[in-house]
Amino acid sequence: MKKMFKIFLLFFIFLLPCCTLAKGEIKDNYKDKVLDITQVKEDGKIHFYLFYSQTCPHCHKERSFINDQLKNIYKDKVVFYEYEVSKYNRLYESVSSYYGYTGEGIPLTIIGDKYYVGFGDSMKSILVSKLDSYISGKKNKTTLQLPILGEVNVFTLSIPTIGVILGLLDGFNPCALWILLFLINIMIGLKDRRKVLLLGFAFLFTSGFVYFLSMLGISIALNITTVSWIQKGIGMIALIAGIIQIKKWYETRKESGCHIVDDRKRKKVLGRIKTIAKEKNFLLALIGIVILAASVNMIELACSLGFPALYSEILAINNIHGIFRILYLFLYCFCYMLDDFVIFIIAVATFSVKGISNKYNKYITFVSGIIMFLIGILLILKPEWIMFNF
Amino acid sequence: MKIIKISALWCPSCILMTKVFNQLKCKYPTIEFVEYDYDLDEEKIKKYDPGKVLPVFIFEEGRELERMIGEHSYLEIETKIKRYFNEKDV
Repeated sequence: MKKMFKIFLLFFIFLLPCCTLAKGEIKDNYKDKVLDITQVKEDGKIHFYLFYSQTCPHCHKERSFINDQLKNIYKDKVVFYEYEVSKYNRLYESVSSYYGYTGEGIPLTIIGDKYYVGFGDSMKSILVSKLDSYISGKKNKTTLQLPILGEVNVFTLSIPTIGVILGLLDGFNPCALWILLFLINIMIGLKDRRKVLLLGFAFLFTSGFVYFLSMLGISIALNITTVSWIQKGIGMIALIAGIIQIKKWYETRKESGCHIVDDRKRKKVLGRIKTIAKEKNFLLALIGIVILAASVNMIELACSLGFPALYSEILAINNIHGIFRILYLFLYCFCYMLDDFVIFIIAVATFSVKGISNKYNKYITFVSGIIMFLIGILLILKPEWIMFNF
Repeated sequence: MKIIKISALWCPSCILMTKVFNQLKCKYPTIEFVEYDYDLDEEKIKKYDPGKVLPVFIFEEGRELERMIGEHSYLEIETKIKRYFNEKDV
């Protein structure tokens, strides 16, 4: 258990610098130009770079915003550069590579050490706020002195911390837990520790992998980061899911037992688990458990869609792309599966299943509802408050 | 005189209450303790109409005296046992 905690801590520490978006290599022939771009201030003026395309509607909107508003507000303080990507494609690639951006999104805006992909209403206030902070010379200096890590900006802690919290809360979702308990109880009856271990881990790994793939799918679908109606739509889903959770908590707050899962679904899952447990051929049992885990997790994802969608959206609006987005999703899924692994390992070690009081489940339902509701509100009204990476 | 427990394999509260049920079983050997599984004993539990929340504890003496639904402490269930069953019987 201690070893597991250490691995988890190392992984968490490893992810921290990802928030700042690691900078890649610069192609030689553009080195000077890219270095120019990354210098926020020259001749006392802030430099603002935009990579756009003539055919992209969001680029048109951003260019209109720059010409109609930003140039008027910051005429003496900011120099604006605009590059059409079809003409300056290699420069675009070099700059993207320098900032560690692996996507191909436009418009791409660069102010100093930060880059922004996409354009929408929320992006307007972000760009203004970034320019203001450079002009006033104030940067986010909110730091914490942590053991091992030393001085850490609290904003770089925010995204992995949110991933851990949401992942753990999502993991305690009863939609996912009942199937695992069903499986463990039936498997323990086999009295074959090796078989139980292999089938159990196959079930858990497949569940985690399918959940990860589903989140990756959601994440790719939400890749148009700053399209405001998508943001507001996700916010609305989270808001409704939060209200449903709080309502569920309110209606069942005085009950202390388990609500009976839908008859048809329960009987189907039970039948499949029994068939797998009886299967003499181990390979067939293994295939059966993998198929079961994949199918039930696809269905159960709908039950807890709120948190995966929210976290994916938080990654999107914080400009977390490529490998870093995958690592953050992995962190979320790791935390999502953690409680299941703990329950399973204890069950196999003791050959008995430990019950968990339903009152904890109720607290989790309530807390999850409140968090979903609040993040939903923020996504709709104040998305910049959860943009930690700007 | 018997106490019927209806629970399910997938229900964390039922698993938690199994320990309490077994402790009571040891302490009160003259009482008949019967356990049914919601899924595996579907036919047998139909007559008890267990409802939508598990576990269910039914106190019977010829007829149903009372039922307790959900999680309860050892003491809570023991208090009911003492109320419904004479001291000499238990």
